[in-house]
Amino acid sequence: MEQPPIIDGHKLAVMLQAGAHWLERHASAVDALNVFPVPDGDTGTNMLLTLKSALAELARAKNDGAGGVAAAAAHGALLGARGNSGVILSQILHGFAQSIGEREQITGSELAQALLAASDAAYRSVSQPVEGTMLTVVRESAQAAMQAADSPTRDVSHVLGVALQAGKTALANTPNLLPVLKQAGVVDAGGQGLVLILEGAHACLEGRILEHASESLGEIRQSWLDSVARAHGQDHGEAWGYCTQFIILQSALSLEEVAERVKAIGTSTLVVGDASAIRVHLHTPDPGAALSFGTSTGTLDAIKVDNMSEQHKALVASRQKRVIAPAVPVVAVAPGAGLAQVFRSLGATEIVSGGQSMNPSTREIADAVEAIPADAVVVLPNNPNVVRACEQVQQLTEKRIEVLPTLTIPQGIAALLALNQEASIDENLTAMRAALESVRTIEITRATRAVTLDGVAVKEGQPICLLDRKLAAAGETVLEAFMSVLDEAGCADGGLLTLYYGENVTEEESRTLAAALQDHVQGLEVEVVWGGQPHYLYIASLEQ
Amino acid sequence: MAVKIVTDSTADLLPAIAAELDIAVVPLTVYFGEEVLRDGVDITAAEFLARLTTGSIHPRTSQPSPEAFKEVYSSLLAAGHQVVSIHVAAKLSGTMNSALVARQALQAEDKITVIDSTWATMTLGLVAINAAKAARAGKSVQEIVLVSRDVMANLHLIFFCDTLEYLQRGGRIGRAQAFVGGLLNIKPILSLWDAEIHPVERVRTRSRALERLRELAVSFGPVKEFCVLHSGSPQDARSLFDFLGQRYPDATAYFGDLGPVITTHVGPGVVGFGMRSG
Repeated sequence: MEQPPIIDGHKLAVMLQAGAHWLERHASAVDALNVFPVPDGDTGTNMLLTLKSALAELARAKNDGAGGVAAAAAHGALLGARGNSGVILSQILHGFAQSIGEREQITGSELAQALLAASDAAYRSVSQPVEGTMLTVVRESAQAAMQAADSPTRDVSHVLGVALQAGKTALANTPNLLPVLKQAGVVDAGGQGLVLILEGAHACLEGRILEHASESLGEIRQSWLDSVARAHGQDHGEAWGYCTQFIILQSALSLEEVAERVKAIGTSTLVVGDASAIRVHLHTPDPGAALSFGTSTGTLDAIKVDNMSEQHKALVASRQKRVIAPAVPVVAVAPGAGLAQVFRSLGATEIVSGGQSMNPSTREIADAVEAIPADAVVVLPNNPNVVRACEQVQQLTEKRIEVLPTLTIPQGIAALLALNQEASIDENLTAMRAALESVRTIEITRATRAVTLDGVAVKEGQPICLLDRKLAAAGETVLEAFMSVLDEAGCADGGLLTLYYGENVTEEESRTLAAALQDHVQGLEVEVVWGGQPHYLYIASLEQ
Repeated sequence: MAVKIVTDSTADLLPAIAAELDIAVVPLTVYFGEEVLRDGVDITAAEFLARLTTGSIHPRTSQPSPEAFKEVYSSLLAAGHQVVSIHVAAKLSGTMNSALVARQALQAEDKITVIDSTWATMTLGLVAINAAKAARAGKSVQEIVLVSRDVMANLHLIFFCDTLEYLQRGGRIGRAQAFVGGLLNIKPILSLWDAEIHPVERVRTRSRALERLRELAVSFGPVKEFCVLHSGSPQDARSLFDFLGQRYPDATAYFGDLGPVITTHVGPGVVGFGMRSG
């Protein structure tokens, strides 16, 4: 097959989609590489979601050239960046796009330069770059590409191929650079994610198909979302009802027939797809009728029914609440309904949840910030994987954003307790920073993989205990794991332990654990609070 | 003929100090239901605490009647003295009103100067003490007023409570209302200034609160006088007192109990310091 000498906008878009698709096929495998046996901040998922956000933005590219596509992808990645790896990926795309600039198409040597710019941007975005991570992989790929671009065979495919090869070599070497990888017997997850993206993109460039992927999947999804948004924009809610969406699989009726029938049932109707999968959207006071129609003609998937008047009321209420903001507003990231309540009760202005993965995107955090009518906002990430996404928010707003380095929920709560609306924002930042240092965090979860880390041997599914985010103990039971950590945390003089119990734990179980801990440790007072967080059985603060 | 200092029981002056400096203290009243008790006269701090924590009736407080002031003023005027009467912030109590009514009834505006200290408890005490020392040194009324104003402008009062419940019930919670309603148990650190309670910080444990009080106490620069008072927490208060004594060995220091009226409004388990800097 003839190798193309250049990459134009269309090709670049398709290459990015192919890279995303190849990553998607392996996302769980990448997640499984996470050295830390705790179930949050999964690299594969985070990188994939970030890349998908990049792709979603392509429909809004300013032009069809390589520069336009790259810029749109970078912007989309910035908005959707989740987790540390997602943020670094967004910076890689940013550097890449900046280097391409306004070019309609890029040559081999321009590709190499863009990869180098991407690598530089990635390194710049990390305050303390560590080798043996995604950074090493992108750097060595870029350096190899630069060398290849010097040679006579400068076509893009060759350059990208050389970059990919160097990336794979660098990835294989990461355990030699980062001891914890060697200990765990894996390569770096972020680096693996990046290699997969490059691999998918390269195969696409060469016209090889690694996998039967629907290249236009991204397109349909974006234009669908746009159509639904338009439908809602035009519907001024004269007849509130239920927003009903579903996909009909193996429909017995044709697309046109389905469209006719749906029009008769509701308003703001949208019907797209083909015989194998038809997407339906409508507003109706009787969602049951719509769903019955669906099941009468095929099988249903992706069913979503929303009460629009409730949604509207909630939207209006939340907008009304935000007419006045406190002097020093705080946005806190809190996974779990109970934790959200705790933060609100202590004075947080807005809560961002981040869902099951506990990692909200930059956009989600930015939305919360924008909703507050104030010039400066303090942000509490409460998770090391969320800090970078919070820091990126500054790029999306004119407001002054101050991200406090809270790495755990207890640190976030301690910082919020130090908040005083009578003091200036700078005085508050000082007090909050000091307060977050005064608390120790204990987290209990079940190990997602068997591993030996820092001398602690862990079996999959076993209760493990982290102290200030470091794996400290494993136990046969939760109580056992807790006890060994309390020893290490130095509870000799007693203190106050606050247990926030998660969604997989009952209040009774928590109180039983609290009583046992109080019995075992002299002078320890234990409080039990509903947290509702996913994954972590208990998050606890230890204060003296 | 001399100038005599009068204050009220919310100053929480140790009886020995009041006697030594010849300060007349007009008591406020505490009610347990129908039972009327004069603050510091009919009930001591220790007795009050016992009743507060074990009794079922929640006490209320009330300013002294104008009669109570008339009695004190008339006997001082009869001895030929002039009076400087320094009291708890008008924003916090009607005590000032009673003093002014009494003065008017005696038609003694030229002989009695009434000052709104804008403070309460230990810091009010420090104003009264300094005024009394100036009076003992033979200063005139105008000079004593100037001394008082100078002290009033350089005071700090910070304390922590076990619970905000008492401040809420007594209606003096002021801006500390902001600390109410959190889902976690907290020890609020509060300050009094501009005749209002202000929130300073929330912490989770008493030991952390004490630690913060120490840190805050040394943040005001050179200290001339300080006072540590408490309601039923003598050990915690003593450790703060000793710490400050070591930090400021040249400062005049006072240690004592918060009186019944003040304790009604802040509750048991409170530790605080009042400080004159500058």
